[in-house]
Amino acid sequence: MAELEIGRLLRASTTACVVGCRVSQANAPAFGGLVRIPLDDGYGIYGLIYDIRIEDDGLVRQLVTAERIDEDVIQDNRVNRNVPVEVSVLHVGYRQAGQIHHLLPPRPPLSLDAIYICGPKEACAFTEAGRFGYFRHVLRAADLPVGELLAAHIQLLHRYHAERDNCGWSSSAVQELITLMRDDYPTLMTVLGALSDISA
Amino acid sequence: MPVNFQQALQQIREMGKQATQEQRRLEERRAEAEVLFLQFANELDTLEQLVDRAAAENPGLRCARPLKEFLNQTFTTPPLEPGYTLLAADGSQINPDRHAMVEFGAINVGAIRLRPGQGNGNGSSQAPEEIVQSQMMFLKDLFTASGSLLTDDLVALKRDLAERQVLAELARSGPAPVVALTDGPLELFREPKGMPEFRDGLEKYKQVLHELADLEVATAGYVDRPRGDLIVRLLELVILERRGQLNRAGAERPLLGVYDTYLFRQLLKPGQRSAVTGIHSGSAQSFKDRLALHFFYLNVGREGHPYFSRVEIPRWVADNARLLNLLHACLLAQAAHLGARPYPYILHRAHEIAVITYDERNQLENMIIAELRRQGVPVDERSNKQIAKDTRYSG
Repeated sequence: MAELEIGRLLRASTTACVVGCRVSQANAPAFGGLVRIPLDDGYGIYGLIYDIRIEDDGLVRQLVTAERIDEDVIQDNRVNRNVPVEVSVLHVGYRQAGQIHHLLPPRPPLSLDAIYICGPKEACAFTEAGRFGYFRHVLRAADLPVGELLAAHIQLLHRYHAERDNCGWSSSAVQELITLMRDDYPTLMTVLGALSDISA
Repeated sequence: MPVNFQQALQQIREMGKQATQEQRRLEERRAEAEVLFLQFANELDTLEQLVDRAAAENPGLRCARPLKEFLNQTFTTPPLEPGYTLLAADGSQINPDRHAMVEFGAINVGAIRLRPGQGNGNGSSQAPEEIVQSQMMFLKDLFTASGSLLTDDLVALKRDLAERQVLAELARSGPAPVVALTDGPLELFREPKGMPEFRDGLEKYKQVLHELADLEVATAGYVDRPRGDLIVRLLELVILERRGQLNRAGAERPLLGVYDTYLFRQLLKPGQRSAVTGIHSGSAQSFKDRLALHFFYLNVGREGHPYFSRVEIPRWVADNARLLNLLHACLLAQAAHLGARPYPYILHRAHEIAVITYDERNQLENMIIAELRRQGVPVDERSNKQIAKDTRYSG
């Protein structure tokens, strides 16, 4: 399956990064989706999309006050004007020398590194490695919509795993979350509440 | 040292004391202008004769010259013809600075081509095309024939020319009808006019206008918030003639401070344009026949919130009803995009594309310095004056 590039890196730290993408690419990334940033020598970083942001600027704010906006103007702003969609990614692991680790990456990515959507096979490989260790990066992150993020992620991966006859994956994931959050009842209830909205 | 605010405040207070009186006098002049406007709006022959007589006494006379439309005639928004091509260009410049490490100049022209309503074949609209042309000036490019460093005005003239050249280049590929816009008047106000470089630039500028005329492009210069008073100056000729002082036209300004837009504030409704009028001036004399400069006022505002612009056009557009109507409708459509602050969207975008930021200027300078050093060419330091300035405002 051809890799789907969603954008290029704007800024990064050890724990997260922000990717800029053109509006035409913006149809691809989804909240909770798993992405990969391939770097050198078989080293690559995995991340979860936790925010997708479209910034405005003075001109856009002015355009919205007009009675009517021509399609040409809309296309001009989406295609030509340098206001990229910003996709925020939480680092949840990395691959090195063929091994997947659910640890924070030893080195962050660099400016303009390309970032790709993980296809079903790759996503399943990442989420099956270890014992859901990457969940702690989500649970530890401050100011994230933890419940909704995990729900969206599990919903997506449930579909991928089901296609591979691994329908028990999502149940195992939820069990792990309950174990990890047994001492944080309010957050656990938030997460379980979001998970309960997942349609079967 | 900061401004001497004590001194400034004193002068501001003096100004304030006089402001009420000045405002009263201005209102009187406005009222007089309005009376004359209504009285002579359709006396086109009389007004034209006054211009001829005054111009004979004062070759530098600057005023409007009536054509065939009554001065108080208004024209409603025509329907917007489909299938047109809209072009806009703007320019930005870096002037050579003898205090910098290297002397260089740059002209950046940003243009945008839009074909409204024309899709890309798969049901969606096509994004407008952006074009950027960057021209650097080094070494002998920076000097006039007499060996002086290019002035800011000469660089600006080159920029004006480059903008129109880009428009002509784009207009060649059409498809017609084509509307081509620039910000500011078509008339060139660059100094010094006597220099060979100015004359040469002006000739090239006119050549480009001729090319646009051959292509029948609706070319226009758009002036936002005009402070023009060409029609008011025309009305002043009536006053001066009554006083027997027509020979003082231009020097005596009985209606000083009254702008043309005052005359149209009640007259022009949203979407309407005024009569097309010619320009009589020393610099406009360079533009003859089909290049002769004309203008009209346009209310791009909305009910209760009029907002006027002045649109300068060459004769070939003024005489062509189809091009004039297309231009009129197109400008309104473009200005409407910016909602409560009407200004042609495409001109704003051309400006965005053209502008050279401070960081970009520094980046260009660094690139030039790097190349010169790579070639083993020594590079100067900044002047002591510049270093002192930079030190004062750094950190």
